[in-house]
Amino acid sequence: MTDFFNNNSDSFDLGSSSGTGTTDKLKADEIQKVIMMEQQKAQLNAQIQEISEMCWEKCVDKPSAKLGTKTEACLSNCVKRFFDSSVIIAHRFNQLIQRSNTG
Amino acid sequence: MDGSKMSQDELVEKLKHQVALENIELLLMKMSRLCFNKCIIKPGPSLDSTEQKCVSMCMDRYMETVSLVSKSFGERLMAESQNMH
Repeated sequence: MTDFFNNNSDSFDLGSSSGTGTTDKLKADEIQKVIMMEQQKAQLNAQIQEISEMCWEKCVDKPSAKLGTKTEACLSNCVKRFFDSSVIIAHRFNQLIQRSNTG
Repeated sequence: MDGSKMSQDELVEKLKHQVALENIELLLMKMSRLCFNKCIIKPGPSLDSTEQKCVSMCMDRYMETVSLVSKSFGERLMAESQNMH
């Protein structure tokens, strides 16, 4: 379903380090890395889930046999416009912070 | 000598498996909530066939929606990251 992000997830290869010299520290680092990757993936996934719900509410009226081209276009636009809005919010927020710092 | 390495790989696999399970559980809960809201307007003594059909279709359409959103989201992320370089 979220195939887009799964591509890079499985490229992890922890089997490359040869056995005997591997210290516990190294292992801990590797596991730490995996956990960070998983956290990043989880964050992206959560974002996708949230946007999906928002756009679902905006674009899909009554569930039918197909989404239909109109709804699909609406969903795609919805995602893009949500991005645009987030950018505006971030900019505006920055402005406000800068203004309060200088003023 | 591979005893400890095996358990490390196993740990990673377990972690990924757990994350996947959690994602599925969250998705199921979300779909139940959204499709209940869309399809069961006034709960009666049982789900009638229209409601049942609506709920099934709703789930299928929602999965398609997530996949579409994921695609658009990914495309936009790619475009943004290319703009930065």
